[in-house]
Amino acid sequence: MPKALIIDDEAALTTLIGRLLESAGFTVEAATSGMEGLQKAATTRPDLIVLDIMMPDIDGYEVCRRLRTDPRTARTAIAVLTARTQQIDKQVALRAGADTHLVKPFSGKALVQAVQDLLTARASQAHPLGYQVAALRLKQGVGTTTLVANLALALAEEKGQLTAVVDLVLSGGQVGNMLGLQAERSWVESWHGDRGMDELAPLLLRHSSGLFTLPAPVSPLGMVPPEMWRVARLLQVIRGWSDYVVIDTPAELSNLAPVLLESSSLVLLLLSPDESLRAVQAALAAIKKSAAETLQIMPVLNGLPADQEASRRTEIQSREQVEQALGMPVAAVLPWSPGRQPVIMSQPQSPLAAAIRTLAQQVVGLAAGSA
Amino acid sequence: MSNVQFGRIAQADFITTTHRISGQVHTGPKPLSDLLNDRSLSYMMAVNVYISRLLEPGEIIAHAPVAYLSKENLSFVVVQAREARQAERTRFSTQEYRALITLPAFEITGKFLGPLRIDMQVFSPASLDPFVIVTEATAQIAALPEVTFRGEAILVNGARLESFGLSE
Repeated sequence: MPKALIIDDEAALTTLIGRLLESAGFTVEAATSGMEGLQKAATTRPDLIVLDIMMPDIDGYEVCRRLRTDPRTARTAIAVLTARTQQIDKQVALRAGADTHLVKPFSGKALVQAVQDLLTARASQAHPLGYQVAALRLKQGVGTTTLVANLALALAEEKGQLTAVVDLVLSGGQVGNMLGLQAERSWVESWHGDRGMDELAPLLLRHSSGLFTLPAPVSPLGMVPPEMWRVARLLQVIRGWSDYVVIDTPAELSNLAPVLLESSSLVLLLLSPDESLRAVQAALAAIKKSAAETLQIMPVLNGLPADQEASRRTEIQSREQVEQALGMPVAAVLPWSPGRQPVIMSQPQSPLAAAIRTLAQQVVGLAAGSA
Repeated sequence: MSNVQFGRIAQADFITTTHRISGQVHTGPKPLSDLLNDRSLSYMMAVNVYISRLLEPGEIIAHAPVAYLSKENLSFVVVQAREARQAERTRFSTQEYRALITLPAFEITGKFLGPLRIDMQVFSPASLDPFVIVTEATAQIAALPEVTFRGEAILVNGARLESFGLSE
């Protein structure tokens, strides 16, 4: 039986809508203010929220925005029901995250039909597991965190898609810092894996872009490394909720490798020009050996030698050379860019941002193909 | 609201040159247009009022449980279907004209119901009610033409008219 939550400050109307929905087979909860509605939505986890806009404490647009930023309600169907009937009102409601904009006064039959249509449409787009991208590196300092943060931001720009970035560099991961987010608690200490998303939601930090971030612990001192089943469960829960998961990983994978290679759909292997191609070939062979057949692997080159002088000091000199040696296309060559800010936001027109957006489009295409 | 009031409640958007004021007016047994056209009242009480700035007419910036609206400062009022039908019934009207109205900051198009023949040489908007009813109406903000207000009827404040164009 689907659960509906009605949030409307007019108690009489709430009762009326409740009866209509109950007669259509819903179990109904009601809230008569925006704040109460937010609390009930987080605890009752309804399938549908019927939301008024003109409410005195916080208006429905703000309620809608907050519902969308809470991982527990980010995917709940929201039908705005309002006496603000202008086209601009519909635009603002949809921009705030509503799925549909219904107007007052309304006929009971039309309201029930509209919310049933909404839930049917939602059911037909049943959320498949999110597409998981793991960024691997063979050594420190090749720019994986920059790639991960920017790629996740670029994917978060995809309309209507939820993207999460997970920093598995448990000793000193920098994804949170790069995005300007700091966790008060770490999932390693606070998430035990038994209550799934309910327990994980407060630990996911929301970036202003809409990207959900699970940073590494603030201080690795005294941290007991998580068991691998917990890491696997963590990634499973996040995949079950998001459309894309991008993971930053340590250079030394050790027992994290099987978890990542079994659960990921795509591995981006980030290479710097001074990488030994023989070592890369060996690493690729090892990855292919322990990965599922469906895993796709794409090398990404972080920069190329700027000139002949520089190229004399590096083994990798061209994209074609890497492609020939590895027998696979290089997904992207990332130009050098100064600064620690994610370029997708701070320099959206820069060559690096353009290269990462192109890479994100490849990821979107692969995800669509795998669905 | 805790006060029990009998009669009709009209939900409307009251538009001034700077704000959009959405609220409800208790109109008793009459339509909202009667209240607007009552020359003995210069103010009107609205309840559950939500205010937006005209440059961001979708965003609510403030709420007041009760507010008094100065009728002379309203540019126009957008009303819903029932209110529009009620307003039309109160008029003697036989002929439908296309109307193009400009007000400070707004352009309004729609249908105007008037007498069978209007002689434009002698017709004067001053002879109409203080708030002129335009049905199937669209109002645009002159500075933001992509933003429109549509209503079954728009009640235009005749005192703020810049131009009033009619065609058959």
